[in-house]
Amino acid sequence: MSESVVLRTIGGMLIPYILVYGIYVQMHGEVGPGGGFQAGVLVAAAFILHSLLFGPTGTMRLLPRWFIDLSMSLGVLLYIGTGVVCLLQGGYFLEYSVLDRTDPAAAEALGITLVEAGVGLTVASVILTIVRKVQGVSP
Amino acid sequence: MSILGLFNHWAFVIIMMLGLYAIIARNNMIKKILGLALFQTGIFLMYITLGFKEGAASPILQHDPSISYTNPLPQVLILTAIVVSLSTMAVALAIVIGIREEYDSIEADEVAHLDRQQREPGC
Amino acid sequence: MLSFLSPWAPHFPILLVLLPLLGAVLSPLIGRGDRGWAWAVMTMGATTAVAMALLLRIREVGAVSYPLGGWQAPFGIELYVDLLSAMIALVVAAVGWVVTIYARASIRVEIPGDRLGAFWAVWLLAITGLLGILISGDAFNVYVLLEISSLTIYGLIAMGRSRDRKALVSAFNYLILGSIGASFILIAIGLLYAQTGTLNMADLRLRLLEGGSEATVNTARAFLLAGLGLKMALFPLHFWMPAAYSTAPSAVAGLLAATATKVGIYMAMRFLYSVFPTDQGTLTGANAWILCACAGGAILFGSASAARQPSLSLLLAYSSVAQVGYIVLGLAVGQIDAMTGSILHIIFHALMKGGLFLGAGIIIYRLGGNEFDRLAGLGRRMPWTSAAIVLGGLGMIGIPGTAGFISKLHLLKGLFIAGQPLLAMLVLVGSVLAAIYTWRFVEVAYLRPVTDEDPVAVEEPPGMLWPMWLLIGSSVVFGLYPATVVKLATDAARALLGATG
Repeated sequence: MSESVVLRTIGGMLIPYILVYGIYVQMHGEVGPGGGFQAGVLVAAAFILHSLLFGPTGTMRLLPRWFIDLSMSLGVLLYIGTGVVCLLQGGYFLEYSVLDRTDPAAAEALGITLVEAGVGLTVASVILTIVRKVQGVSP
Repeated sequence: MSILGLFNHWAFVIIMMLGLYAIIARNNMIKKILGLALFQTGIFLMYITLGFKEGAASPILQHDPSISYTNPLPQVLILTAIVVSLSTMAVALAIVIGIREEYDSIEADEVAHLDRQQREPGC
Repeated sequence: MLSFLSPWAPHFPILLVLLPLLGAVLSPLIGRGDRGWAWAVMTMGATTAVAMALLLRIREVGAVSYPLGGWQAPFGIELYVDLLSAMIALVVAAVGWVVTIYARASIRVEIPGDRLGAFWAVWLLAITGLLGILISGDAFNVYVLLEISSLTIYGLIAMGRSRDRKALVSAFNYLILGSIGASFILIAIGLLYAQTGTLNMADLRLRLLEGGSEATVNTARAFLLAGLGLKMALFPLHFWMPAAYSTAPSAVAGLLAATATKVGIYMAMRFLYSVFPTDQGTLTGANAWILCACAGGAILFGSASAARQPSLSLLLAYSSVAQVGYIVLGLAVGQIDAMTGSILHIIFHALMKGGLFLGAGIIIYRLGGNEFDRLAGLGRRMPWTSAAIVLGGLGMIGIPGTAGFISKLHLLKGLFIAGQPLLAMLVLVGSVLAAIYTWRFVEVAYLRPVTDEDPVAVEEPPGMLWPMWLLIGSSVVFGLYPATVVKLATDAARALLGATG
């Protein structure tokens, strides 16, 4: 837990901006450098900064262990689920264009967005879990 | 092809060798892990160098048909490989934390000595 | 038999990987302990069913291709399953299933509850990675799945720390070496891509046949062999294996001995014969000799070291080093019978070694360890376990009636036909050395009197006994009725060797 008032104030102001930037990177994966993995790392970085400034137990109260475990599984399930829905609609696994037969291009965009969202969710949770393990936080 | 034109190639080979050297020569386990990371970074540089074209733009689609782009495929491969490298380091760090808990040391020779002592007491 | 699965038939390849992956992801939500175990068993059962259905389908229609996302090869990532892949996939899935059933009791003793964590998730993820390598038709995809399986395996080995803290050190060493090996494979894939512009393995073969820079292709092959040599524990790159297998939890050791090295050998077969150009079905130039030298070293060194080990687990690990040598020997020679022998040995060794490690695990479960000085009179104290271990040992030697005999027979036949009597001599010497280390166990277990402080009769847990006997027993059954498997292996070998330009 950082004792410096300066660090806590400035850091606290930075965290929302990092989060917003992370979400921006997530959404802009199609038209610029970005995507799920990078965004996940940024979002996790915001929360790691929080735990450095306000102590890991504080972050634990914000994002409890069960929530992070759940979002890890949910992210992968979102990815696999998108693929399986494509299977059920008659296409191959992850063939997004069958999701909307009237407009395959839009369906591809939808599929990619969903898949990237799953990736971002999982990556953020996993990195946060790794750092928590290193910090030695007991659940 | 001039020596300077191959600058990237020299760079990644040197980085890879530095990484390998660190893995072998350094005793501290964290330094070994860092050496592994350095080695893998050299490989990433190699892939990206493969996809490079002189004077080409980065591979984000623009509406000018005359633009040539660098090859996006190696860059995509590297994104995946970076994730793999990150996961490898995470697992390695978790194991080193365990070693610290069990042996009270993260120096490879001390740990080996403790293991040998356990096997042959009084060594 | 499995006709209820037929509407899903075209999707079998992806289902093979999807089922254990889903199982792994849902496992933390199901819970740890016995509920997690039951879920893992169910998942593995479903996976084995799909693997069997896939093999039957390939027998009917030939090799199967599955373009992920609908993007056709060579632009998209393709799953390509042929007879060899399907056979090894069935072995991995089935042995994985049996070991999962066995693992319940073994894990309960070897890993305390609070350290269990997401064990079953990691277990299922390891199997996902291994199965994925077998069915992938894209070179980079193979690398990614290789790393998935490797990372999970490093974690699984480290879980043995509660029984023996050396598990952490062996996991760390394996991690460093394995990651260097995988990075070498990555370099090889990069060089191949630079040379041909494609990552799809079938397309790679076509483009490599057209010729091109010899230096690049040879460098790529060198890096690939170095990386794969590390992964499959081929002498002299085997040294991580004994420590890792003897300190890992016994169920993990059983799974690894049966599956992980085999998948590495499969990768070598696939890349050397189906991707790189070959010289009318044999490996070019020095490659064959280098591999033969390493394999010969493995056979001699592994078998000789096995007899000198202080514990059963270490003996079995060094024996595995030798058995990998046999398989690579058949692979390197490039003759159809030798290749058939290699493929057969992949299957049979998985069964026998898996069973042997499970047996070693039962001894650990009851006696806390399996150093030879604890095992005096084991034949009387744990008769069923000892009998199974002896049978497995006979299989390692290659006594007629065991499966090991069948694979060694084909290997020897192939070596003689290929004009390599010295190598055939080597295989026979290996069998003699295997007899020596098997005799070591027999001598301790049956000919030493039980010391006063050891309990005379130790109850052998049935939940661990029958999976072990299932594996060892099936190796005996295949030893007596090998015809179906031999036919499959011969067809697979023919496809592998015949696929030259």
